[in-house]
Amino acid sequence: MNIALRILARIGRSVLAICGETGRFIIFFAATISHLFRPPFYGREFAMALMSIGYMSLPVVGLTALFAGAALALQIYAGGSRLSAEATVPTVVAIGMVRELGPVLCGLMVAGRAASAIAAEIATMKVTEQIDALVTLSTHPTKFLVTPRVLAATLVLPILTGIGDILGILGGFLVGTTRLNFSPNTYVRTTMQFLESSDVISGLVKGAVFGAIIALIGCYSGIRSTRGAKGVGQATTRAVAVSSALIIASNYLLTELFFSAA
Amino acid sequence: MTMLNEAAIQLEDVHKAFGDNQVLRGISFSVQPGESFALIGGSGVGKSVIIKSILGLIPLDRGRIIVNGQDNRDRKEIDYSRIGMLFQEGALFDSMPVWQNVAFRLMRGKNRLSPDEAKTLAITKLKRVGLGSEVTEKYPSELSGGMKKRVGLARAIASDPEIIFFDEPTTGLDPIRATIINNLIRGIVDESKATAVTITHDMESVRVISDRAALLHDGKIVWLSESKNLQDSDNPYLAQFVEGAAAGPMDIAV
Ligand SMILES: Nc1ncnc2c1ncn2[C@@H]1O[C@H](COP(=O)(O)OP(=O)(O)OP(=O)(O)O)[C@@H](O)[C@H]1O
Ligand SMILES: [Mg+2]
Repeated sequence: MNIALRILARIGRSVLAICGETGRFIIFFAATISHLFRPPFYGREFAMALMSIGYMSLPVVGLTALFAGAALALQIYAGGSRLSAEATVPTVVAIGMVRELGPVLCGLMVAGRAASAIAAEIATMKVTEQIDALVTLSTHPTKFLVTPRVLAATLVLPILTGIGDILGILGGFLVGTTRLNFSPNTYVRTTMQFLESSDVISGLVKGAVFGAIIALIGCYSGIRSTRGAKGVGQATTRAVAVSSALIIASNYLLTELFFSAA
Repeated sequence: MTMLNEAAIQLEDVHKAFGDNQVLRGISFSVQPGESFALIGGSGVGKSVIIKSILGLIPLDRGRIIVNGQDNRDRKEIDYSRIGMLFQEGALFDSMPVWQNVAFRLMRGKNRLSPDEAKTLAITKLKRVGLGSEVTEKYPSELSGGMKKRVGLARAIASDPEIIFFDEPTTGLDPIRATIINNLIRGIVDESKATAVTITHDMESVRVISDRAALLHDGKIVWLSESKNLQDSDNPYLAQFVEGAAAGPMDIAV
């Protein structure tokens, strides 16, 4: 009886904590959005976020996509040959990259790089009272720190995704033409023939959503952090774990959405 | 002294706890416009918490605080453009060089200056706190503790605020620089008729900087009077604090 009550109490506490956290996040999200439309706008912070989230992520996103595309080509060939459907390699690589792997890999890579960096930076600012200092200098921390990063990530992730798509297809092309006896001409023609613009657009939309998730979660865990250096570490880890999980989950929901819409 | 509407800062029965730690247990005092007020008291007694509450950075449990005639419960009501704050640990933005820290407010907002103008003004303010051009382009991580403090001071006074808070402005400075900063703060209050609240552990600072001072102990004010009465008070708390005696009414756990 006693144990049952205690378990119930613990479950109740966890549920309440999750509800509270979700509520706080929704308020935070609403504030971020509302600051998008109210001046002042911090162009410099926006440009710096574009640089650190977008430009600095290019190498890791590019390399990942290139190798993923190459491996994908081999796998699809291995599977396709069992059904005598080797000719589908270019098409399936392109569709797989553009609709699924491009945005997801790009999202996860940037989550590892940028969500952690954002969380660490903002958490450090929190524990060293720099956020309090912003307030006393007539600057709204959400407007100054969060909104520029969320906007930058949302805009730059589709671009990174597009670059990842191209490099992934290139990876498939390299493997297809050197290892799998496709002629370059056939490979390119088959790729272009069956790839639809809706495939590309759905992937880019995913990228934008993942970008928003990365920056929002990074900023939120940074701002909510407490307890000195240890808190900074915890905020960083939490930002990567939560944003990665949300990317995977929302990827499924978005795929389902595009699937039913098509 | 207690005319409600005229005080620049007014605290009424302010209570604040962090979890089980009851820090403030009913703090009331007011600071008049143009007055320089000092807060003294043992380490961890809640001096910084008082200043952060006045600035609306910490929500109160009970009581209220009026700044320039506005209840500060809603941060939106506080006109930060008229306020300057030196944080105890500096709280400098470590992503920006020193001059951008000092010029932070000058470069933003409605009446913003051009970067060149802001930089020139920042250099002037840095000179006032005894920092030369060699620090202008440095980042906070490259400065000594005392230099950080003075950059924070330059940032706090950069836009000529009407109310200025100094959290331990001379801690970590050598005696000569401490004297310079004390005189600077007194000068700012005298020249610009600014209202100042200074936290300090240094009795010399209290004498030089402030018109009135309050001694905090155990979440309450145990002494409040004109700073010139600092030495010859028969208040047992103050006597112990000024002498730095281990024995006395303030039972400090070690
Ligand atoms: N954000 C916070 N969360 C929890 N406790 C806090 C917080 N800020 C301050 N405290 C607690 O409040 C008490 C007073 O802290 P405060 O920083 O005001 O001390 P102080 O009088 O400024 O001391 P010092 O002279 O050492 O700077 C301390 O016990 C501290 O642990
Ligand atoms: Mg303090």
